[in-house]
Amino acid sequence: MIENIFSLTNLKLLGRGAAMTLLLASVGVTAGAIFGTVLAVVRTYPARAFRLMTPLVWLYVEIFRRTPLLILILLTYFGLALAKVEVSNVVVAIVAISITSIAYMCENVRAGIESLPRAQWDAGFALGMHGWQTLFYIILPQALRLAIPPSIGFMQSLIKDTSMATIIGIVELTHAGVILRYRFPLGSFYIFGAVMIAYFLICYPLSWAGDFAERRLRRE
Amino acid sequence: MTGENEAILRLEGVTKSFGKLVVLKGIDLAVRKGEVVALIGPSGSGKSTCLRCINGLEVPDSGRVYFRGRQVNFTNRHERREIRKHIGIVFQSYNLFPHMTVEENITIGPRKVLGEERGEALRRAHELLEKFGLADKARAMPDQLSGGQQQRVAIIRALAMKPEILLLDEVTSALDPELTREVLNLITQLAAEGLTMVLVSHEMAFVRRTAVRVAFMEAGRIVLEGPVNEVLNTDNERVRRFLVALEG
Repeated sequence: MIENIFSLTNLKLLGRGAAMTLLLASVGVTAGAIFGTVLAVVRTYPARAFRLMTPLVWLYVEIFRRTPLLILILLTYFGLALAKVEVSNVVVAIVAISITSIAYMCENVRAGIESLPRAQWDAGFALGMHGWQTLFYIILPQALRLAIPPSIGFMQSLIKDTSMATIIGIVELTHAGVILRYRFPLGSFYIFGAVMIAYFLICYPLSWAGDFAERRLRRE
Repeated sequence: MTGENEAILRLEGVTKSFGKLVVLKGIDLAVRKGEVVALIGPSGSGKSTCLRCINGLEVPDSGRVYFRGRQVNFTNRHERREIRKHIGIVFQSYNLFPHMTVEENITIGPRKVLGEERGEALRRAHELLEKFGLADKARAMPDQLSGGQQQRVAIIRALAMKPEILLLDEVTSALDPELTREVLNLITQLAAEGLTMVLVSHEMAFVRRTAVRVAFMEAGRIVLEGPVNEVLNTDNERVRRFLVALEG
């Protein structure tokens, strides 16, 4: 029976599911890392230009860290439909996942920035640096390094949470498993076992990536 | 005023408050080129704030600061940066950049602020490290150094900017006596080379040896100011009590 379940066709289905999961997660993670850092800077950097935006960033972060991703995916789906914006469901999922990811990553980087001693800014300013130079050369390299461990944990959660895209019919890893399950009801255990192993294999390398990044950021 | 008698740095009526706390109540101070001026006095008297008002790390509430005869407008960001190129500061807690090697710590200012080439900045960094006995630490990370070595690197980092004035804010307060000595020796050497310095210190033997003039601060004011021997041998009751307490 197992040979039938894991035939080439079915493995291909699981593989496509895994690829979709990877796509959703990697876009989400990348968007989170980039825009989360940008928002963290806006939230912490004492420039006049940012003063108006700071409470907006705060509101954004608070809302999307305190509401379920599943609801956000549905809201994005129906919201875009209501606005008559026609995009594929994959884009809908990516948007929703990125919104969540950015909110969490903003918090991680902000915590990193704020945990650095005020004196590090002073030391940069004392050399005659611009605020942005101090930020880029002194503060961010240290803050991002501090943000890595919580971010790796978050990213692994995010990979697992991409399964929620199932709700709008996207065939990612979990959904692929569900489809297979309907074809082979008696093989459900093996199918979801394989799905679980696939999630693990996708998540695990991130821990290495985290170690690598931490070592890299130690030097400028 | 002409020539060498002219003050390179002058503070007039500088005040500074943090919220309701009035830290500086009108500071007048003049520093001539090549002179070492020591600020002494009890904790909380405003010595550090006074130093930080000189290079705009704190912006004075009122009063004027003149550098080379020109009044500095600290509310202007550009002028704040400009003054810091000429007036360096070294902190009590070193504040080295922990993610950079010693040589990167020293070269980042010259490279990013003065626009020096990497090679040129490195060459000068190695020269300074060599001069002050830290040549073998160029590639070390700050956390691999002793406190005394870290503080010497911090001083070198400030010197690499070729400052006209160096401000030293209790630079040995975090060090044990042995490490204190290596840092103070470096400063004494700088004084001998004619670098203008304003320093806050509780090391009276060092102040006696190095400073030309001393200002005693208390509660946000300079209570007594003059040549080092006059101030340290004063019959001013308050200053004497302070000195006796320090020197035992």
